[in-house]
Amino acid sequence: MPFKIGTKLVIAVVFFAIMGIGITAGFAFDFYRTAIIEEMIQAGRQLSGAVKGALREDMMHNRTEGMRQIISSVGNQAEVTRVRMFNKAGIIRYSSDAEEENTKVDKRAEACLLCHANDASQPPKATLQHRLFNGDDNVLYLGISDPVYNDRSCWTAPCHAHKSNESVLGFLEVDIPLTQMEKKIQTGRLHTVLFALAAVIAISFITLILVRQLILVPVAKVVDATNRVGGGEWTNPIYGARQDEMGQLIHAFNRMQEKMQVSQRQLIMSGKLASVGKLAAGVAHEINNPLTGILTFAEDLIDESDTDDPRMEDYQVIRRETMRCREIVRNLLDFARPEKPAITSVDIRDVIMKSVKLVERLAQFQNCRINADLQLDLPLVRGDEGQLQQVFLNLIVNASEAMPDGGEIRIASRHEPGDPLIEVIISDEGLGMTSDQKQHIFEPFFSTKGGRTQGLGLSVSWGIIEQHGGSIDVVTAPDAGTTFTVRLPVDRSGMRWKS
Amino acid sequence: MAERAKILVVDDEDVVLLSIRKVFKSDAFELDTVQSPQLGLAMVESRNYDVVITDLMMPGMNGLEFLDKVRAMDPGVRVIMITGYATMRTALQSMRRGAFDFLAKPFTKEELSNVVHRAMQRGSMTEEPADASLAGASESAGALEPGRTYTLRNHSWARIEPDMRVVIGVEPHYLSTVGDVSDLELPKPGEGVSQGGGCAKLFTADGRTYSLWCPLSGRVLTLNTEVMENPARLTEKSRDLWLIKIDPTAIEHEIENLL
Repeated sequence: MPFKIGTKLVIAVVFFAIMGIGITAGFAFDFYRTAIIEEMIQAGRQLSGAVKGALREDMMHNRTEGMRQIISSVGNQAEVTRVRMFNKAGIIRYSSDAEEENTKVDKRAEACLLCHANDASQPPKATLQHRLFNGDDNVLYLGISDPVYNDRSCWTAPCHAHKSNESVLGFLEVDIPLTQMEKKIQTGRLHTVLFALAAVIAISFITLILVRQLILVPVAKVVDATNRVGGGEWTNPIYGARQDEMGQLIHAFNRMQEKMQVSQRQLIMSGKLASVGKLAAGVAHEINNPLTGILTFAEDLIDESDTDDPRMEDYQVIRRETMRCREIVRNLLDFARPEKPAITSVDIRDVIMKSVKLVERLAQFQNCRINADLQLDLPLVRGDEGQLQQVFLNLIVNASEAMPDGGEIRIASRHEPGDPLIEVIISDEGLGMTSDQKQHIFEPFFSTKGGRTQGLGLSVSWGIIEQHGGSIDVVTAPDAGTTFTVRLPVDRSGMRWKS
Repeated sequence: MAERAKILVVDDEDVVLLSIRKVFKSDAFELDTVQSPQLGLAMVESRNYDVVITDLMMPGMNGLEFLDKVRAMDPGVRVIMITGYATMRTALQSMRRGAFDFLAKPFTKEELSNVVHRAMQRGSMTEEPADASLAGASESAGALEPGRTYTLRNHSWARIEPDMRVVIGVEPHYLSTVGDVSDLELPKPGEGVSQGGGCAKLFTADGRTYSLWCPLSGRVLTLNTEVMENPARLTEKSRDLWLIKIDPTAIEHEIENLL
């Protein structure tokens, strides 16, 4: 199984955290180690200075025993391993290790090289020097080599051990073990590593939680919803009010599903209309011949019977109802035979204003005010003028029928520059519809007008607008009026029919 | 007693033949009914009919073909096409090709007897010749010329006005077959009319009511009050006397069904 995004991210974060924290800790560790050693050197200098000061009085009076005593007592302290004093010739005159007294060290010995460079031609450095070295016991030592300078009191001392022309008389070497420091450094290193480890774990954990909350959980929701949609079912909109990319993804998904639902409804509707159309044409064709028989035979009965025939009324009913069947069949066929739109560039303003003019004269519009407020700069649409007029007439007439006591029919338009569709909004202040009625209003044979019509008007309108590549939506509630929104594609060619 | 009208009815549906028999059962008519177009042609060849009533959709031969053959055999016979409402376009085409009239099923006794009555009127007015060039001779939408008159042959005419609206009137030949018009019923402004559907009712002195087929679909804009007030003026048979003015809605398609 491939790594999940979360795993990959955590691995990457851990890797870079280790690198980053490791390098930083390494530098910090080095810095502190150097600082501690500097500190030790400083302490070593002070110690050697103090020893030199303590020895001075004995040196002046050449009290060798006193000097030996001081050196050995300093050298026997736990913090100091060895104190020894060399003369200029490299002979150890005094040492805390009595055995090596009066032995001569090679000038190429490590301690001597501090001042006497490898190259013997160079004059020695007559300043305090230090070195770090590993002793035979494998312990790190700090070695301080402190030169003892000649001064007046030295050559004027009663022992006359030194002459006035000498500058350096010898040097004091103090060797201090760094075991304590090493221990501290080890502890510091351990702390650093532990801290780094804790930081890496914390960062990974936080990353994991963030990745989970910000990415994995919402992605899982989208994946789940997508799978469901892929499997042919609809899901509830995914909730998530975030404004980030994930929020945008969720929003885009919801919008996509909404659009898909709309187009699926349209497809179902088209299918319904098409099959109803085919069925209607077939039924109408088959039913015409029997209806012809019923109609003419009933009429013949009427013609042949005496006017006071008790069955006359029945014959009249048969005739009247057959005529009604004839009308139904004809309307059905009108519906089943929607002509392909003859697409031209249509000025929708013109179509609507014409429709308004036509209906205004009808009796049912006596109590209705039509308030058509259409943008002057509406672009032309692609469409069949006659069919579009049929749609708008139908919607306007419906609006008036929804307001038996009169009211206002508002017709408005909406189009922003660049929009591929224009909207025409037709609303009434009428009875409105229940949500159940609303679901069915575009279906053939559905009517809210109680059998006074055959319920084909909106179906036909729907079919026409769909063939135009547009859509009709309805917003309604009982007693809150009804608003139809018709969307039609803008004509990009900008050509006008019949100039 | 006047000579009996000789009528041949061709329809593959028994009930339609029976119905038509009911309508023309009086002694004034001599009715033959056959159920196949082939038999119908044989009858036309052997007898001299005044009127042939034929279904537009029959097995073996379509109504238009049958119409052509009948008219080739006997140019004087008036052929009435019975059509399902769904085949309006074919019905209109049959008018172009010389049918006297058409009737949509289911029809009433009155509608059938009226159309036959008209067919029996051999007035002095000659028919407008049928379009012999036939199929495919349709006008393109670009040929729509203001001022030009198009006709639903022998029925109604439509003239395109300079503002691209259309005025509609009754063909002189139609008027010569209905007799004196005593009254007129027209659709109301705002109502729709469709090609091949009724767009006027003509009431005649002999008590009959004729339905005039509309040459084009559209919305009624205005009525000609001049004719409304004095329907008798229709007898002038002038093509200046229009009945209704419409805003055509599908003229580009429908014009090909007219002459």
